Amino acid sequence: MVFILLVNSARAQPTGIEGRVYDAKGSALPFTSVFIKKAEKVALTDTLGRYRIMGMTPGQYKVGISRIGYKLQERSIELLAGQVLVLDFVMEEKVTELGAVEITAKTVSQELRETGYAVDVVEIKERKNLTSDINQVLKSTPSIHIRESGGLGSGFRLSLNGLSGNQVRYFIDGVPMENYGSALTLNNYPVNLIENIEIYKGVVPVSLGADALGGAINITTGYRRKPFLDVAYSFGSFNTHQASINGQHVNEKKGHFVKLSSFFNHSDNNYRMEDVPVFDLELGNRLGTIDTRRFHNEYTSGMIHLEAGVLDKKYADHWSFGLTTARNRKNYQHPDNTINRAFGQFHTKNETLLASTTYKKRLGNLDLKGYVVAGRVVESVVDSSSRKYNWAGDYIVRQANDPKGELFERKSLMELTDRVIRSNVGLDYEISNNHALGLHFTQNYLERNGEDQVNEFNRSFESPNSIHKNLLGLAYTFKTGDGKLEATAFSKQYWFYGEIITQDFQDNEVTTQPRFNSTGYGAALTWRIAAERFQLKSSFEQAFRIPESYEILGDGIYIQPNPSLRPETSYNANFGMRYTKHFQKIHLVSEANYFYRFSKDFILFNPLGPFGTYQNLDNVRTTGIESSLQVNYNDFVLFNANFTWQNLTDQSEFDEGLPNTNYESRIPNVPYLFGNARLGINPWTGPTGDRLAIYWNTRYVHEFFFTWENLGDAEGKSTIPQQLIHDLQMEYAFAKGKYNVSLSVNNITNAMAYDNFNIQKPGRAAYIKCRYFLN
Amino acid sequence: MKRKYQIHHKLTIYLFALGLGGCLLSACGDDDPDEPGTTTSTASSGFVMSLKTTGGDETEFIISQDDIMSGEISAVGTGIEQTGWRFFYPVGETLFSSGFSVDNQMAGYGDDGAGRITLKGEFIFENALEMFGKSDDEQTLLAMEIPRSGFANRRLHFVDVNTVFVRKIIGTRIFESTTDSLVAWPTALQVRDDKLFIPFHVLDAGGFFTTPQPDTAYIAIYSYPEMGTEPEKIIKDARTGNIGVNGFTTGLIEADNGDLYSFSCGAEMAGFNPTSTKPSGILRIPHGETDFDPSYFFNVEAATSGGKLIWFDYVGGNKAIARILVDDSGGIWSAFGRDVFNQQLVIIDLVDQTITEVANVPLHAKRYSSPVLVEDGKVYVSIETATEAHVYQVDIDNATAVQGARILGKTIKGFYRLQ
Repeated sequence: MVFILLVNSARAQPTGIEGRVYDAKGSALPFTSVFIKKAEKVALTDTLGRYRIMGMTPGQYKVGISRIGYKLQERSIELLAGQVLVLDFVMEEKVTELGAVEITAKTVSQELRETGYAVDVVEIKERKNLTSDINQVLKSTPSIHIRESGGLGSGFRLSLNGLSGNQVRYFIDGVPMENYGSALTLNNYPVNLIENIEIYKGVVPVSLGADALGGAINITTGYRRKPFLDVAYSFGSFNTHQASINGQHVNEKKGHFVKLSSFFNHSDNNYRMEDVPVFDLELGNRLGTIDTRRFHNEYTSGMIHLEAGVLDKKYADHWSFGLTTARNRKNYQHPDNTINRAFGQFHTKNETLLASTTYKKRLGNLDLKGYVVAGRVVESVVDSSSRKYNWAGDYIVRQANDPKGELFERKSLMELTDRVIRSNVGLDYEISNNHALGLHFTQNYLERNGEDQVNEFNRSFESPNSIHKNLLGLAYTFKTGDGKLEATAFSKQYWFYGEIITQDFQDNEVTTQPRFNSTGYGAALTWRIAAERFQLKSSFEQAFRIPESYEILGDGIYIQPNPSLRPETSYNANFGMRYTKHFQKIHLVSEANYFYRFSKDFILFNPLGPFGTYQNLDNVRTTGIESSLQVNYNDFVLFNANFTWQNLTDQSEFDEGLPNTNYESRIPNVPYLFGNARLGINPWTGPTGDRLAIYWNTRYVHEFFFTWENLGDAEGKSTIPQQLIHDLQMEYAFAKGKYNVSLSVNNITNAMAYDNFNIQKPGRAAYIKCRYFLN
Repeated sequence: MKRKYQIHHKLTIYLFALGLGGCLLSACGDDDPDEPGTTTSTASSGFVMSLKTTGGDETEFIISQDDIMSGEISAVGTGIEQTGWRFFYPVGETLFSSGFSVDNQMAGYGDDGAGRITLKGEFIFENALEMFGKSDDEQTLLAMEIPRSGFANRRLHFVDVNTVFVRKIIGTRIFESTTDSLVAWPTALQVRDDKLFIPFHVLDAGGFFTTPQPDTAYIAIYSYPEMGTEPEKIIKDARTGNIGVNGFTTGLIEADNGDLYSFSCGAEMAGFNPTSTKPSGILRIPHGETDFDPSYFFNVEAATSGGKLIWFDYVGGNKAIARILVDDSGGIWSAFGRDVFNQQLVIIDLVDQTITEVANVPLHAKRYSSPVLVEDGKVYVSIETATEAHVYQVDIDNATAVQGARILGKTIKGFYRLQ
């Protein structure tokens, strides 16, 4: 169908202009307005900076291009009948300073923010000189809350508008990061390697192709056409080192490029813990509490990503091949849920190897995109030590006949090997200036093998298990000619197939083959009132999350397979407003969003005797509001603040047939009120673009209960106390941004901070970062 | 986070080694609920109960209430919050709460002398403590760690009831066969005079809880309190199957005269796989002896036309309160779930070998229960049907019951008195 349309349009050969728009660095400039004055025709460039205006009559015209933050340009042309004139533009940036990217330029992010989806875009440009990873940046965005169990590399749980864990999916440049191993998670990526973070709250566009229930986070690494080199090194508290090298060589004439992205992280994470309990090693009696440093908490990770490809060929606008290798090692001081036990040798390791290819081609009005990723991910959990530690750092050696490990009941060295193959094909067709269609297919296959080299009784994944998820999405977008109204309707079809081999009670192999399919749908609508100033947007989706392998397959021992497990379902709706205003030198952006989620069939673990299965048990309703305000005064002061309030309530009236005592009560152990503020000043700008900037960040999380609020004596209840954390950052850039130095002090007041019950986070920490950027 | 009493750890260890640790520990209480010696605001008078709530993670609470025969019992605004799924086991006027699913901590609760429940002490363990017993003088709690797979010691903790201090840990295999890949899963820790009796299931070592030898009753007998790492002997009886049911601590009970009675279940619903071909029934070890009484076997399956005992506990006067699975059709482990309601409450006369159904109690489901509380010829139980949970007061002599307060929760795991 789509191809027929394509052929027809190619045959028509209309008169018009087409071309590309770049910035001074050679990067494509998407969402740039290209207008023809006399003909009153307007087009926006696509993500590759391309535009096309057809259906013109021959004659003389003035073609203009405009983009906020760039200088306006006009060019005179003469167009002949049947001619398609190729016109490329290079736009010059207006000189802007601190915070300018966020405010004055209508960037990709702004364009995305103005679509009907509830989407937030964090631009990294401003933060590239600072010591932070993606999680730290995400933390400061509205409605996102990240709970960490410690320092660099520690376990974390991100929640987005009240949904968390597997309900939120992650992507890099549109490629899902699911199951790529622990060295490639958000808390490893230094900010230098990325350009933007797109946060889709609730409704996820079909182009991302994932079974996300509560939203998606897409990290974009940027697309530049010019060579560059970005080298950064940061050093700080707890013996923390973070280095990254990011560079690209481009041969524009021959149309090929080579790109390198890499990072190395290490931290001892030996921050101070207060009041940790010390237990006697032989008998387990409580001796008292002490203040001590963590002594087995080191984290090291690294990644190298190499990509080579061609640009602007007949057969492809962009075709590249990539190779990624990543590793990490993480020492655990204690289990993620309690500090009662201390470890001295327990650790995990990860090795990931991925090969990928990405293809993009525009054929007339048709955009064709695709990728294939294949790889091997090995995760090892090493619990083979005979030592038993306590928080005092003392240990005893277990007797030879004692099989106990530090965490597990028997010493164990479990190695899980996943083979993954994932691919996506996307077609976007622009029927006219008002109508567009998108069709995206995503396939995701995982095969898991496991071997415990120490515990002969652990037979999990001895026979390979596999799961295959497929998703087909179709979207239709309508835009009014004046661009004031834009509507998208879409449908997603999910297919799941698995083959699971486990041992039953009699040690026989049992093969189960769960399969199901579901259809989801949704829509997004945006309406701009009063030109650019005021915008309303709303979206709705019925989405599914397909169960994870361990939920449906079990672990071969204590978690029994449940082939009848259904996907989690979520109905989510978003309604938002965005207001922009200039008063002389003051620029103001204000946003408010309301969100509603009704999640059915939450997958929970249900114990049955010594075993248990994952079952569809709970219904949860979330309503909430988030609001943000940004003010910029003459590029001298930048202030932004946001807060989120969310109310998650248990909507299960009955629990296994009995009335649910907590029906309509607030879900415990989930933060419900939190906010951030950031103040930046630019006290000095030198004549050659040298500049000094100072930022102050504050993060607040209101106290919340660990278990149900209405139950138990008020005074003895466990709570996660209120957090108020301040960070200070200073950066100095000179030689036109080639050299950059920054100093960051996190948790300046050395406040005791907790995200999880009783698990303390790092206190005050300082980092220095040097960055060299060559364009 | 509240400030806690802090001491240098090395100092603590030295002091502890010198026997001074106890004074530090008992003197350092403040308002932190985690700190031993902390008094809670929950009253220690009335009935103290362990309540499992509904919803989410089914948080458990220790609550108290004077009247449990009318109105409602709930944890709304009251009770001491517990972490994760817990075992509750009373010894005298101390209630022990042992972590199972989330934390590896054992807490002992008692009366603070001023009418409040206080945390007397705590300790941590390695694998979950899954079987409990007590000394005859009620000064020692016995608690056993049972590794779930492979060959490993079952570690019996001897815990001082007053200080909640572990005095010693004895590791024993109870029984194992590496050639046949078999291990023992204890189902009671019963002290009588100078012996400790440990009945057990024979399980496969792989951790699947299969019962490859379900057709014999086994009890390991140790000396007590000077317990060895090997049993003095293991007695067997082929008239019925493995003794006890996983999770219940009363596979073996002692009558007033010192006779011991065991029950055997063998049902698939209680986790037997394969099931026992022998009838469910009761065996006896007479007072002063360490062998099964060959003249005594109460064939419960025959007496109830096919019913199987899944739980019993001693209520005095040679009588036991018990639950009978009226059929075994629910599937593996289903007696631990809430899909099959086929348990019947009965009173058993152990000597006369009679079974009387307790009147006015519906068929129900039951996952777990602490040892029962008996007062003035009455015993209190929590009964859960498909749609309701209630306290029942059972008159032991008449085998009748009165429905009491409605329970706002999944179940009450046990009823206790702390003063």
